Amino acid sequence: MAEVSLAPSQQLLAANSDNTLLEVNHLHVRYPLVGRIRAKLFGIPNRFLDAVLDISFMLRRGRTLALVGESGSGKSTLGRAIIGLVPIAGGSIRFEGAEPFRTAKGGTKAYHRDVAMMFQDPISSLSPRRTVRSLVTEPFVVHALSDRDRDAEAKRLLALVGLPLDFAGRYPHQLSGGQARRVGVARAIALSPKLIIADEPTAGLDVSVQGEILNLMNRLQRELGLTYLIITHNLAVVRHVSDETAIMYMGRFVEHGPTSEIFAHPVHPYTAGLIAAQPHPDPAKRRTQVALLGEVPSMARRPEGCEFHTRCPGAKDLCRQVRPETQAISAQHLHRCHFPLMENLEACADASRRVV
Amino acid sequence: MAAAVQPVLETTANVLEVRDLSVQFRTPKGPVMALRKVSVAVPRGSIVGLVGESGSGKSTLALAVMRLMPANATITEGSLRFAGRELLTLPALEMQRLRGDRLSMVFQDPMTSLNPVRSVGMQMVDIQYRDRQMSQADKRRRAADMLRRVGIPDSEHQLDRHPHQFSGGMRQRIAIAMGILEKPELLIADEPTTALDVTLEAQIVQLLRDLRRELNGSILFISHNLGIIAELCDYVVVLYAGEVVEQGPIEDIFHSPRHPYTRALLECDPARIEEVCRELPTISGDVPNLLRIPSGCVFAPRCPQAVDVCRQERPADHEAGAGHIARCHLLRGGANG
Amino acid sequence: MSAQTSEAIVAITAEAATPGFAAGLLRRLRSDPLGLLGLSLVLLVVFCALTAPWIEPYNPFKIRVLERFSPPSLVHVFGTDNLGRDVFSRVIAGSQIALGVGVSSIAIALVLGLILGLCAGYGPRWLDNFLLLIFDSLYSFPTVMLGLTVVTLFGPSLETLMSVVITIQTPGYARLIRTATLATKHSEYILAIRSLGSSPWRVLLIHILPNIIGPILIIASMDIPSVITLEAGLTYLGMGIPPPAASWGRILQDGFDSIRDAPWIVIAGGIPLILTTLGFTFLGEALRDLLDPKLRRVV
Repeated sequence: MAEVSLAPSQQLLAANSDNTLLEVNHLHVRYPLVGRIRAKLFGIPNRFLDAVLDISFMLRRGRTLALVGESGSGKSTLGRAIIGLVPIAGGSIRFEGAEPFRTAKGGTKAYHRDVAMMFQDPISSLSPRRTVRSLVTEPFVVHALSDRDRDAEAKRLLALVGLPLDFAGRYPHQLSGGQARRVGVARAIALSPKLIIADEPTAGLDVSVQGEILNLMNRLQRELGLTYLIITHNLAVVRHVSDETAIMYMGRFVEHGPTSEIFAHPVHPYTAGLIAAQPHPDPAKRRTQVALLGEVPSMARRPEGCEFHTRCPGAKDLCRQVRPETQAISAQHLHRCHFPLMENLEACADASRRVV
Repeated sequence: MAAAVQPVLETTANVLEVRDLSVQFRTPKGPVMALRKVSVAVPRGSIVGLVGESGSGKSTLALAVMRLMPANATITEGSLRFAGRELLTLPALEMQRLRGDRLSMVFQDPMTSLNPVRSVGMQMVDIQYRDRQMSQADKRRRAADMLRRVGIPDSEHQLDRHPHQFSGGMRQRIAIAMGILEKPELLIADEPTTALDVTLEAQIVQLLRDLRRELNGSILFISHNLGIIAELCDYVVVLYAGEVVEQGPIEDIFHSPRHPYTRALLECDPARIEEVCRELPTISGDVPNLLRIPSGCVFAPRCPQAVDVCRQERPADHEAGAGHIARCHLLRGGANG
Repeated sequence: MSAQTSEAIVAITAEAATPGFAAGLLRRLRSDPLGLLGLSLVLLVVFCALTAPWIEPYNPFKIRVLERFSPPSLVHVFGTDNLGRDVFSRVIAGSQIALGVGVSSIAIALVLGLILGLCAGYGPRWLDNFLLLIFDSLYSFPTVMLGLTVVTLFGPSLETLMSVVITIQTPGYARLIRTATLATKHSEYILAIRSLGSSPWRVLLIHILPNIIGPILIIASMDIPSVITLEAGLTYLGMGIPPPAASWGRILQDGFDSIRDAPWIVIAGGIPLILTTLGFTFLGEALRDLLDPKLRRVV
């Protein structure tokens, strides 16, 4: 395996450490399948479903990281763990150097001012009996910022997201999908957060209007200095809007690196399979072979060794026995594979040699 | 207004011919014309893709062909010919005989389109009710064979399981198996892969391709995903707000689209954009409110190339090539438009 | 509490969670004749209860021995009873008790049920299990037996009666609220509010409660006639509100004692009971139908 000298890149990274907004280390999130008592009674050895395993990454200010995965990858759980909706079983989350979930109550409140989340379904993520005005100014009330003029704030936020002011009196069921998404964005930026986690921001939107929301998010990023963590399965969009991409499979990162490099030279077979599975809107570019066979195994019955070996076209004996550890092609590009795709590996190595 | 140009494949080699179909829904707020003078032809042995975004009426068209529309919907004009027979005047019993046998449908959400309380095997045997000669055992065997054909391993045992015991991808395969079990002449697939992950989607597309070769049936494939349409279809029909704005062979539609909506739609697809760009193209405005359809061309309010006549007169269908039709004023003046 | 009711509650909770729902209901009610009849009857009883002191022709407690057992006439619309009291005035006074007991005990049961149901639905698992155990045990008690037992132990009085009603009704409401809370708890908008850092109280009171309360209110209002009937029954059995309270049950009991001499008293006591029960039932049925046809078969 080609090893690239990491020292200069690492130095670069160290210099930027105060630019690190979010740092996640060996994060472990799990859901209980059965209660504690029942597990004891029936002798069930593992009563948990591990949704997120050993996730580590750093997100720098002003960047956009895309978390990509199919259903059952754990990406939504990861997003929810970062915002604090689900408890953490292991590992740590550091925001601006501090651990918000370990400190006293005050820490979490401040954290929720700095980090906001946008949810997948635009309309059902809005409380059905509240007006738009009430919804976008709710963050002020939750954080007891009563000195703010709610009307003025509502006006400001609606203007920022490009919604006409008379929408303030509407109810969620009176909004279209795109309009509801904008309300979600307005609510997310209400307290001028530093990080926004967007769960499937384009889900349910027609292709012809997807761009509106993405362009809006892009503009707000520039104007307000936002950092984004975008959770999605839509690779076509990821390619355009994110700086870094992390591919998740069954709760682990299988590849993580700069978006352009991931798309040009995917090193992990799953990444390559995902990219190849994207249909191209051009009949001249039809695929003749199916990229990946089979389905994602259930998280309750994880395969031994490398969890992808059941579907990997290049799986060997080692893959069935030993789980691969994270390896680095460069300081930014990491993967978990015993036998990464050689041509792409070399291409990446070339690229980073040129940079260094 | 010039007479509508008929879809070119007008022979009885069409398994389905929809001509000038208009569907109206009665709603508390007033009548909604969900489909207006829609003409589509599905030649035998071909896969026709129906592309449309929300509000285009594509699902309404599918349900109209199956004659499964809700009570508040009426067909106000037009004709629906299936294998030469007019469906609109067909008695209900005859229509029921057609469904599942010569004309069948696969729906978007496999969670709700399969009966949760009956085993898969029982549901597949039920479909074969018309065949009174065949024994129960034979019907089960046919079902198991079909499940194997769609890629479900160990199909004999799987027959006794219930839908919720299968994953989403498997359930959709089962739904397809049920749809093609009686070797229909036309299979209508309404967004069958929308609820699936992209890797599963690719598998289903390959499955449909293989099946089409084997069964020599036709498929009407409905989707909003241009990539999947490009993968699978021979002809494409583009729907916008209840009207067919363009239709034709797939190369024509994707490589030389003539209608501004089709062009814009293709431009907006992020998968088609080679260079990485942060400002993605969009079509400004919203789909028109079907309660108040604008006069003139339905796409005029959002069309970057609209001129005065577009806002005043309904455009006619113009030929842009062999079998390639677009409903646009800008094409007036011949096929070189 | 059947699984069907739970499922129906979930279904109508989703539908009811849109503003303008109440206005739409009223509009549709106009076209249901039985519902309108029910509404009129209920309004009549409410009117009587509210204006009783002013519309009673006579003092319901005034004993006029000389006029005992007068048959209905223009002077005494429902005649007089064994103590010469004007029965019509007693009936009107009785409406106060009927509605008072009915509405207030249901209201208190509803509030208690709300608190317990919200806690069970939103709180930790052990709390939910614990409360469920309590609900189910209380719920399976036969109503009348419980009523009779409590009254025998603590003596008949208004307070005893109301406690019985509250004890019986609270578990049912708590169950419904719990189901609706559970259904709503996982909605995306609740997750969104929680992600803002909102406290659980805010989530419960401002976001969950308004979205589940509608159908529950309607179901609770349909219980009012049964409470009224229960009170009348217990009083008739001598276990209810003691004399000289002019409850309808008391009128019935007095009337039964003197049924040979003055049959009109029993009728006078029975009519308001029947009308009120019918009224609430019709109104409740109409509202229930408007809410969701699924609910009709179940609740």
